[in-house]
Amino acid sequence: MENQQSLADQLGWCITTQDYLNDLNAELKYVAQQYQESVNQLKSFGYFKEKMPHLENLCSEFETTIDGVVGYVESEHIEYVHGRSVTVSGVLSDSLGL
Amino acid sequence: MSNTFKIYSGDYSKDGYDSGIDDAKHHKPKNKFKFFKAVNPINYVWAFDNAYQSFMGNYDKGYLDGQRVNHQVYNTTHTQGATVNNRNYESHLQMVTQLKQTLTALQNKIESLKENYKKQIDAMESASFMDNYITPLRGKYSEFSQIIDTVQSMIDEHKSQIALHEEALEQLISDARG
Repeated sequence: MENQQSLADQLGWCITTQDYLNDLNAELKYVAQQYQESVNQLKSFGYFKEKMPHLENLCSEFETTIDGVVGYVESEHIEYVHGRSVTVSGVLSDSLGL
Repeated sequence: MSNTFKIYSGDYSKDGYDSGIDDAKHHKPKNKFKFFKAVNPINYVWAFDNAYQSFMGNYDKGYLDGQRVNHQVYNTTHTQGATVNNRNYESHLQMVTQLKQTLTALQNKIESLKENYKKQIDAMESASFMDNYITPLRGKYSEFSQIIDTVQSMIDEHKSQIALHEEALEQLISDARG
């Protein structure tokens, strides 16, 4: 029984941790999108042509970096925690005779 | 202009202009019947055409100027251009400032998520479960933390670059206001 509780706690931990990491990725992707939209909006509202490349380069750098971070969090952390949750879930199911 | 000379000349241009500007400033519709209140009855028979035209023509001019004052639209090309530019600068400034604020909000959010992740690992360690799991995860977290710090530095740099656009726009707005 104690072991089952510990497994349930571990599973809860995995789910919460995955939620945090998914939130982080969602936030990063959202802001990258907002960044792009802001730059597009400035362009369509006639912001100085000579100043646009500077903002466009910043935006592009931001997007590339964020894409890399999102991919890294997904492959190195979310998958790792997810793998653990699958294992714990399997052991818990077995111990409960499901 | 004396009243006698006004009656004699039928020149009601000032009365017309003043009535027009007054109506526009008070957001009243045009009311040309004011002519009959403003004009001396003698001018119904003496110099009527001139009295009527000078009043009416200038009433329209005054009304238009009153509307321009109400809506802050001035009649020189330069000032109109400056007003329009100023509005553009202000919209641009708003967008640029908003972008900077979005980045600041992201920094707070990712810092808090990074902290939550660490708390999760600490909680797991203190609960002494998944012992075989904790060491590799600590290593992963350390790498994660460094990456997030790099992202934070990049955002700081972007904010300072965006601030240059903000400062330039603030200067242009200030110049346009004279």
